[in-house]
Amino acid sequence: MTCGDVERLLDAFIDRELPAPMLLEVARHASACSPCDATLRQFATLGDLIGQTLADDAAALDLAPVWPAVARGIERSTRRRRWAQRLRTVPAWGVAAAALAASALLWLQASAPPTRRPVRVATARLRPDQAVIDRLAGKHVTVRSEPKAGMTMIWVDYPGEPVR
Amino acid sequence: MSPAGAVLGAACLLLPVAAAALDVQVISVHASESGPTDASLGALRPRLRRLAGYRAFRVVRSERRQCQWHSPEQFALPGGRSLQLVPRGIEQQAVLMQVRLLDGRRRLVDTNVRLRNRGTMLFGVGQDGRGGEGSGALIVVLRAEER
Repeated sequence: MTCGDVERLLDAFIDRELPAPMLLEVARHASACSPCDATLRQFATLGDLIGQTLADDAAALDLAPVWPAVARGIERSTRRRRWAQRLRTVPAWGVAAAALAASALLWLQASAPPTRRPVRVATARLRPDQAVIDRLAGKHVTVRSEPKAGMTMIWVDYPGEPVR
Repeated sequence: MSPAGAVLGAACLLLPVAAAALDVQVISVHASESGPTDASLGALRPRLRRLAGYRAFRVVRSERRQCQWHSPEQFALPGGRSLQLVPRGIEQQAVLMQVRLLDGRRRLVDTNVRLRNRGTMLFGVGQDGRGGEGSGALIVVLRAEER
């Protein structure tokens, strides 16, 4: 083992990543070579120092403000679990009744007469060809808008020859 | 001032307001799946294509008219259709209009729009909005400019 080898293996030696025979070789060389010994000691001291600083910082970290949020998260998760447990105990007829009610609601909404609701668009700043539609009535009418200049088209799905 | 003078003065004051009109242009375009596109629609073609879904556009009729505020105007369209509009005013560089698209007496669209001054908007009538196999669609180009 030469001084060059030790220099190359320095990091791995300090981090104890070398295999045991190699560790022994480096240690044996350092015990006989004062410059390598000094370098190893310097690195070891530096490593200890960094470790100590990190430990001090971790100890000084105040996690008290974090805990209320963590506690709230735990509480939410527990509540969800409770609901899931309750749902599991609901009988099959309950599920069927809920599904029936939802279907009835959907059917009622679909069969209701169409309301003439105005289409409202925000009027912050009109683009060159943008049209704001304040009110729109008609059957099978859709509004299309072209993204670039904001050009607006009101389209009517209507049978018949376009140009007679 | 005599009553006649007052009336004349008021009339003179109102005259510029009445003269201030809206320049409206209505272009009827036949959209189809194939064929040539009129050169006058060249600049508009990409937008027409995106919005209507057709590839070829041909001007069928074009009309330009000075419209008075709050006064209904009717523009004839091909196929017995018409476009009725009532210019209602101008607000923040936008022209407020009531527009009705009619097929005979049947009201296809009844809308209140705010179109940017000198802006263009479109109306489309067709069986299939996105390039169907039918005989095409009618597209109405509406331009409004306050003088």
